[in-house]
Amino acid sequence: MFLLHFLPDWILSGFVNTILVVGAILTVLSYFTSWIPFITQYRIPAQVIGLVLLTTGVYFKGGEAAELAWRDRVAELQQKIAIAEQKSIDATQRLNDEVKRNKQNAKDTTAAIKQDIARNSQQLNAECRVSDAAIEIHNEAAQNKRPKVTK
Amino acid sequence: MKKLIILVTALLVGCATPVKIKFPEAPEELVKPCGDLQLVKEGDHQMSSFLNVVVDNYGTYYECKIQADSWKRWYDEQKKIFNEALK
Repeated sequence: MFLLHFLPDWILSGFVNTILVVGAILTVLSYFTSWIPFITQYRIPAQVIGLVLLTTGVYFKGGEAAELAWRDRVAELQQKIAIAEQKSIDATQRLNDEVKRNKQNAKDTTAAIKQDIARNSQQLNAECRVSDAAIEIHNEAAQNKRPKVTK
Repeated sequence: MKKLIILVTALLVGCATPVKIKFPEAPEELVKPCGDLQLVKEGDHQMSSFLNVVVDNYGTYYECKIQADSWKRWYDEQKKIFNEALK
């Protein structure tokens, strides 16, 4: 039954409908045409084959309906996923552009502050000297290192 | 035995899920690594040099914060999109 997935809808429906129609016609003919001499001799085999085909056709018709219902659900799901994937790509692109812009803003702000430092460097350097300990502590913090010496 | 293997394989093909969802690609700006913090040169006692390094490090932090916050936002957005689709 799993291999039915590979058959196109029209082949599946055509096959099932053919069995059903042939079975129905054969059954009807075998029951109601007993007065025709040529057909009379094939009546019993025609009845058996007709009923078997009719029963199989009805069974397959039910299976076909279930199969087609599943195919519809799969197609619907695939469509929903395609829409979601497109939305996902759009959202990702939007966010990427925003992150790029925000990072550039952060870089520009840093550059502006550094220009301010450059403008005030003489005053800053004249009023304050950074000690070796301060440099060492800063560098340890920047590297997430535990202090070597705690005084 | 060979025929049995082929038959079992053919039947199992039907068990494969016909609907596939592709895992979304992350924004390229988010997969970049955060920059390392800069160190002050030993022996450079100038306050302006020290401040420059501190400011650079703050800048690195803010860029990294933007990335970290955006990861969460990206995840929330993607989760919402796919949850709505599969409702």
